Amino acid sequence: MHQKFSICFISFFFLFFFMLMNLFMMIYFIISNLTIMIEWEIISFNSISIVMSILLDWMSLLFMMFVLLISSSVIYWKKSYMSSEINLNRFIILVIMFVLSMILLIISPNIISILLGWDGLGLISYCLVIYYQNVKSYNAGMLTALSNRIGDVMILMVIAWMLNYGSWNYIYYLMFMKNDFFMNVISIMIILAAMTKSAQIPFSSWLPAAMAAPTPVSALVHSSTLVTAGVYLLIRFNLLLEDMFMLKILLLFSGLTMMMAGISANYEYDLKKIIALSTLSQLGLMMSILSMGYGDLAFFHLLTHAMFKALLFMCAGVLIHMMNDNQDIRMMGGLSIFIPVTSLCFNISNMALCGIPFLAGFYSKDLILEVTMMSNLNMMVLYLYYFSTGLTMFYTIRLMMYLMINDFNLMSVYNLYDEDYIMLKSMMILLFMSLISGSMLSWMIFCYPYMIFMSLNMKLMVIYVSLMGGMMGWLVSKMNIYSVNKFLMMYNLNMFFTLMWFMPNLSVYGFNYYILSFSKNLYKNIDMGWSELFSGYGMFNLIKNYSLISMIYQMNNFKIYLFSFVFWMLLIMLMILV
Amino acid sequence: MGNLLGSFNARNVNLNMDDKPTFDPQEGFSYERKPREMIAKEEDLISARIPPKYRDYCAHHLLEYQVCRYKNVPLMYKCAHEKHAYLNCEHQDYVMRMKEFERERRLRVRENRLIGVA
Repeated sequence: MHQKFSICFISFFFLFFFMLMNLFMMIYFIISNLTIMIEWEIISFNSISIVMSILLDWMSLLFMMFVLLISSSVIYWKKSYMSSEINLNRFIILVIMFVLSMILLIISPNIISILLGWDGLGLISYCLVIYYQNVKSYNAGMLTALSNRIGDVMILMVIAWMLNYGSWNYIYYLMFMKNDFFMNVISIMIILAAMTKSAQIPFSSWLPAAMAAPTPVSALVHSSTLVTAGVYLLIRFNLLLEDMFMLKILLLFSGLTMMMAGISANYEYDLKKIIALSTLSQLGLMMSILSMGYGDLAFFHLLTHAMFKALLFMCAGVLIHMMNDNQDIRMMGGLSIFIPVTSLCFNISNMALCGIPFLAGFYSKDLILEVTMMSNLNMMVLYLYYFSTGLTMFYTIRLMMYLMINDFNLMSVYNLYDEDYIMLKSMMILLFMSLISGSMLSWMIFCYPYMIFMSLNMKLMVIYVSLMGGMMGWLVSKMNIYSVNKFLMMYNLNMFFTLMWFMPNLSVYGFNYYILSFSKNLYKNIDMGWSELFSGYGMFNLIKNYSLISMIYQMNNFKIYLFSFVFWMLLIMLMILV
Repeated sequence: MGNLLGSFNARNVNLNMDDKPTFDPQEGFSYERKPREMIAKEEDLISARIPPKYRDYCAHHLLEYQVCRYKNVPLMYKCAHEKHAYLNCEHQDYVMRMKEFERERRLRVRENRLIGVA
């Protein structure tokens, strides 16, 4: 890799250039309230026309801009992180294909081209998860691919069902078809597809498992692009989904996802899995505010979250490199003394995640919580929201105490360095963005601002909850191996929370196992059994038997001649005599 | 919870957040109440492409905010004054609506008391 321009730099340059182009276009579009649709008819068959269409409005341009910014800085970062990789070109090409399929998904208002982008995301994410070739990666990749396949099938069924309407451009008749019963069926399928992609509760086991991927992939894929595809799809379908009963179920599930992920993150010791679970928690937040009908708030949180979560993963990657490829947070500690700049990035992105005022996460998260407070919902939903906010602070403070404050474990001394300027430069881009993007976006995208009006204590509820969560996190991180461990008194409950409410077990042993063993039986009994007996082997046997019979005649033709001669002679004589 | 707790007592008289006022607006007032007037013009709102759900009594502030945003691209924080004026108006509107809600609730309670529903 001693060329003047490496593939990483070239990819970075082009992606960054497109990002700037998108930025200027986005500002123009948002201020002139412009939407552009480009259609290209591929085939027209009777009354069905299959078109390739492109939708450019401020939402798609803004999302594209964020995806390109994150992917460009991640690719630039990769030059240092994956410098010892042999197949770097293959890796970069995979990542760029991933970004392209995400962009295809973003700009398409057509369910067929959405399926193209959607399937591209699924397939390439599978390839990226199994990039490090070992059994754990294979299992994680298979879990990811199979969980996402449910969503793919749902979208395929939506395509099949939309044949009735003669067009797959759902954007055109979202309002028109709102009270149609079959459109409700379609939107239920769309919600299910989005739930698989965004890892909501029945399907959420794949997101932490997918952390077997290389860290740059996690930074790009599992924080900002792949998992937000479901949220983005639902934002696009938002008009259709208003006042649906399924949305209330989605609200419950996403609220539970938020809480489940927050609790599990507190029991986790794997650095990347903690971050993955916090992603899951934020996804639940997005989905739940979306299911209350505030698509723009979900979009806002999606964007700010993408920024600081990508930065968080990149810092985690640096830490993992330094710790001799060890991901266990118990092996780390006191890092703020040894690697101050990376720790700075890590802490700022963590604080933004918690919603500390005037960082990126504050603007979106606080707005979401206040809008929840303002809207007419029951106590349970509010409890889920606020409890999860406290849990965010809980696991973040715990993680920070383990990594930054506690004593250094001397796991690796030789590796500690903070002068990798390639990594630092790309992290600085995202650091800057996670400082300003919240404020910038809240001015930029809210043409119609939200009015928030509530009493002082309700306004400060977020702060109270965060303070309590932070205190709990500090207390939990004080736990030592020789301290009196009350966790063992509730061992079963402990396991329940550690294993994400047994969801990985349910979706692997409980679901995939039975389906796979059922298909093994089908293979044994149908493919290799009955259908073989009746079609392949059976037909051969039948023809063989018939040809054996005719062979008997052929082999014995002299005897048969004589026999038939005698027989006919006897017959004729009998006829003459009678 | 703002709405949840604020409307908690209203459930006793079967009053929900989305209900329309049912009593005479003049009832119990010594002076004549005027209906509110819409300051922003319909054609302005249409030409500014304001969505129908934002065409309320504060829409004239919203129009000013949009004009300011258009002039100050991309430094939209310069429109903080206009945004504040709009949100202030919305706040006053919210307070007024909540007062009407409370009036409706109290009138219903009074009616129940007069009829003797307990």
